Amino acid sequence: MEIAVASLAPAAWVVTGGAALLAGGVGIILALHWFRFGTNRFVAMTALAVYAGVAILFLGSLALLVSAMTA
Amino acid sequence: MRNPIELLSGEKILTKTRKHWIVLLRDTAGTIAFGLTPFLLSALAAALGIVPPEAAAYAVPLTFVAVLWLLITWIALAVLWTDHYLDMWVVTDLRICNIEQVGLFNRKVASWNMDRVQAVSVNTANFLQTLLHYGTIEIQTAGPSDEYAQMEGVPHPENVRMVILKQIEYLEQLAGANKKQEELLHFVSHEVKGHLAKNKAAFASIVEGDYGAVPRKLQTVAGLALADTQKGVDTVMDILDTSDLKTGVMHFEKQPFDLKASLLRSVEELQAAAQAKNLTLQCVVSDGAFTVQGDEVKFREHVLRNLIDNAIRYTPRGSIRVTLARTPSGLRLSVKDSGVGIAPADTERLFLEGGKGAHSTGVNPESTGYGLFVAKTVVEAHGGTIRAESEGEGKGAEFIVELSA
Repeated sequence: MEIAVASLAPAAWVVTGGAALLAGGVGIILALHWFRFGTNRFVAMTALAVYAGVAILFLGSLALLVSAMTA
Repeated sequence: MRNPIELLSGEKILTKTRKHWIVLLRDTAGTIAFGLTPFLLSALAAALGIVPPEAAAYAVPLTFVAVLWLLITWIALAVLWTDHYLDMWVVTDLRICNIEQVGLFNRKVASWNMDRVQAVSVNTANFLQTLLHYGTIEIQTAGPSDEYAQMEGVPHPENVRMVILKQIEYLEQLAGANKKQEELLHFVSHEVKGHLAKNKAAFASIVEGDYGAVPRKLQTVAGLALADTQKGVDTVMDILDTSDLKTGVMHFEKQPFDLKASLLRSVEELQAAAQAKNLTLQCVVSDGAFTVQGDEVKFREHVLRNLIDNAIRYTPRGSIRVTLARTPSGLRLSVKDSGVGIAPADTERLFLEGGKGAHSTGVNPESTGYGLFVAKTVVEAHGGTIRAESEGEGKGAEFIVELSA
């Protein structure tokens, strides 16, 4: 049985939204730890930039892929 | 940015260490392998030619799942790195602190006083630890429960151990030197006190006419010498009492006494000193008895007399008002003057051992800095509190003692 890829798009959007919430929520908690308990502001800033950068890259890719499913 | 722990007053960090990077690699290896497994399996399937032809139609959804998988792996790695980064051992000159971050919400900070550490050992267990210079530090402390602590994966653990051992040795030497110094101080103070007491008695005899009429000049000089000797006796007594407090030798009687009668007596005794400086010393006490359970002599000498005497010394002109009243929670004694006042930074320091205000020495060169320290100790031994309030320099001060009912 073949499933049309386009029909998967709504569920994929929900999954993408959930992933964004998870990545954002964990990111906020981690950033609080880095800035509150860390001993070096530069390390905290770098960690935040790297984490957020990679997470945005993955989330952007997910969004592009869902768009490709709809097209 | 900030210290990893809240430091006590005067505490210094000697060294701090995180776990070796190999520990992070070990802790994240499973997650990395877990994250890469689907990709390795799909690459293997492609290489073996066992990928079903219809899979090409689902390339986009499969890529979606793969990216989602990588995102979750990335989040897990960030959490693991945070746990590693926030784990730390901090060795200060007073204690050893172990900060352990477990997951996102569990953070444990344990500390062991340096003077309770009995043994520090280093354990380098295998070839990798020897090669990469890391291992486990274990400390055993004395105490009711014989506490035991360890941190694994410490880089160059021998260096950390040496820092701890040197500090323990230094503290032991310091404690020994302090003890000898206290003993010497006690001995010298006792000797000086004996001589001063004899001088005081001799001058008092001259002033009071025990040897008959003496020339006016001699009586004046003897009077001044008597006052100076009294100051010397007070200073030595302060130092002796402080020494007794620190060695735990000072004992307090626990008997009921009337604080009001004690206060009125102290005010009466010091009235002459206030009049000599043209100060108004006023005492306002509510009606009724103010019975307190404690040591009347020590409370009168070290708290009442001390506070009123200080107020006289530090008030060049104006008035001193002493009040004793009941409060809902107990008794409140206040000694308020219109004197030199206290700088905000000094209100806490005044009660420390040897603590003086910024301008104390200028106003009162004989100040030892022990009087209020002893007063605070005596008040606290009676279950009370003492504090100083002032609107600033030149605006007078108020010393408040509160005792529970």
